[in-house]
Amino acid sequence: MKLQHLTVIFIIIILPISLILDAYIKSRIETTELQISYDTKLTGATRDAIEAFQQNTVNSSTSDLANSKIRDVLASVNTFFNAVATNFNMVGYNSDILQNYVPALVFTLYDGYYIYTPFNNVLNDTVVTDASTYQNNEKIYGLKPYIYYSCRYKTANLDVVINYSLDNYISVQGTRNGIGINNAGYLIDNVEISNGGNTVKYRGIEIEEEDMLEEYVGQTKYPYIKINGVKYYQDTDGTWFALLNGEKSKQQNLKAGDNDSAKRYYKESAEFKQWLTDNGILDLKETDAVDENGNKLNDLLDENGEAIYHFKNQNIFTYQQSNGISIEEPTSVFNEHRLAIIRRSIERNLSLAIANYNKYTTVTTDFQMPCLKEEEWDQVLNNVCMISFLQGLSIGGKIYNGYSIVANNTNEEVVTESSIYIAEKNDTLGNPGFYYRIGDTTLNTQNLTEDNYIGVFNMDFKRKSMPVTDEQTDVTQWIYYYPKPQLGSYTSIVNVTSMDKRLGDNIYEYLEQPGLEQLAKLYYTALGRERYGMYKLERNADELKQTYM
Amino acid sequence: MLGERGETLVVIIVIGLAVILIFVFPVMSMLDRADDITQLSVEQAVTEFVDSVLTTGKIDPDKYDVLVIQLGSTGNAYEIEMMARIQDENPGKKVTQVQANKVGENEYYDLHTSQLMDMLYTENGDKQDVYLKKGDYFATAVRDKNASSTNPVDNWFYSSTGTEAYSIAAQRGGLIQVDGAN
Repeated sequence: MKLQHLTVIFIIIILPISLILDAYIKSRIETTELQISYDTKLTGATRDAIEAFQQNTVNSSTSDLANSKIRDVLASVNTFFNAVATNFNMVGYNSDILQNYVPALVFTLYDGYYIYTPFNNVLNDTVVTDASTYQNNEKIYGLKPYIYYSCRYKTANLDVVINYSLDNYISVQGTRNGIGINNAGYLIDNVEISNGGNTVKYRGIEIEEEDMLEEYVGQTKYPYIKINGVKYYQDTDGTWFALLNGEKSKQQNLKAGDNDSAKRYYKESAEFKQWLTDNGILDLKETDAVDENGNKLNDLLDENGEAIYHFKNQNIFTYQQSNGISIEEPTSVFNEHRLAIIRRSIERNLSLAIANYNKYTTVTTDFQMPCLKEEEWDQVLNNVCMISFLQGLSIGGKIYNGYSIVANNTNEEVVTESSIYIAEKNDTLGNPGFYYRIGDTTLNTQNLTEDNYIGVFNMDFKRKSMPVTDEQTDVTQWIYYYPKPQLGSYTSIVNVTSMDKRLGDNIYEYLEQPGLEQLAKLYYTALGRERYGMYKLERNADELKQTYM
Repeated sequence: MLGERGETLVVIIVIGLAVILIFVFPVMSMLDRADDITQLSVEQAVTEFVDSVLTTGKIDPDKYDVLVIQLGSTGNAYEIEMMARIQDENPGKKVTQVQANKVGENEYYDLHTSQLMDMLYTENGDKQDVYLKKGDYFATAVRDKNASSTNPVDNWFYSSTGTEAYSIAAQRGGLIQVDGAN
């Protein structure tokens, strides 16, 4: 056979193989590029949704209330689907079609979470009519009931459910020796009460009453007190008001003068510790935790199926551990247990929701919950966040199965240890001064007295808006204002370049360093004041307000 | 028709064509596919690194080292460029405080690769995180240092010229989602 014949035969054999291989590899590459593109679009849509949630809660004075929160979460969901539809419209999908590929959306909040997923509407056939918005057995997309971060504990004489939160606040409901018990509070160690309750010390620092805080509403500065999530401002004529939808709403007069919210925070935590002791809650161990069927809890597993948390036979609520760690610190047994409970709750309920989604969807894909990585769980467990899932889209060689987690650590939901900034007190519009993050080395050289500096919640530096009606023309326009006029420091806010190297993950350990007593006092006072002022469902708001009158 | 010399010439041409068809083109095709896979690896490595910065709000020198190792494992040398656009809200805040119906514009200033590297790796050899905040922007671009094609067989037939001719490149950027220092 001649060489040219051999060559032709070789080409006839090799060329098709080469072309097929070429096409296959190209399609795999396109699939992976499409996957990366879809991941980006999903993350962008999730970020838009959590941003919408933040904007709505910053500008709302009622965002803590349940129905207001549901409205804000649903608005956020709408934003998500609009953003997904916009991003995916290029390939012909609109929001109604894309909803079929979203098995669940999760919003983790301060003390629980919502799951947005479809469910079957159940209506009594006798009350439904043709004019009803929804029919019986109709598939509806909506928020499932709020799920608390809770766990049941059962011993010989105790059967209680403890609800956890993103900080060290817990609520306890259940029975002890058959008698009902119910209380809530913060878990804080190192509190000393003396002098008949007038002197309160935390970690050796005396917590005193402070002057009423002031902030701008529009262009006018008012003193205010925050009670159960609502700010009550004292008007120029001595009356008091709160903001409702941007309008001034007259309130009963409160007692002007010093603000003792920080003192109350530490005092009540000491009382709560006594209550826990008296009711045997401090004796609860991790092995007493049971599921809804009364069975002991299994270990938590990571994405490789290995145990990452084991519920040990150790007390959960040890205020002062043998290694010197206090209950409120990040590495305490309580904190690790709290994170494990929250993770277990989210994992179980989310897996169920996504698995059940197979009953509702018209898409021929088996929906399953993906395994989240450990660093992703860190984001979820320590912040308000949104988890979105998108599954079942065809991307060439395979089916897309993606998720996105976007956390938000600047929100009104929770006052974390890093939410407190230190601000200069010369806060006039002409000379606003600066605010700093804890750990900024600039603070180490300043005289941090209460006359010059104050601790402030970071959300108070965010821009707000309100409607203003011109009295002469009767035209309403929206104005923007900053409650606190201080500017962000260029060493720790605008640009984080000058942080104290001694500041690690434990802010309490940092503030025990010598020479930081003034900073510690400002910080602990602000943390106590802001946390005490947050909305708490278990409180009787009217009773609490009476104590400020 | 062709004499002996002609026949020899034809044989040489045929052998040359045979060599090209049997050896060179299949090899070129496979090396092109290898380039595509390298491009994909580079894109994935850059995406992973940038996404970790966007979701955590900080540039971790350990993650940067992982990026360098992943790029090195493709067998090529790359230029890595990073840019952080830092948002300064103070000028916008001052405008709004003076005129309530105006939302002032924020200022931005950029930190480039050499500045970020100085912050990530200090003079005494320590590594430290570079913290960014929500509203900042971060981007990374990676380019193959060889201007010509990585495929040495391609170079026999043609070569690329010009400083912008990169055969393997990837870039990704986005807004920071959380305050890294919190």
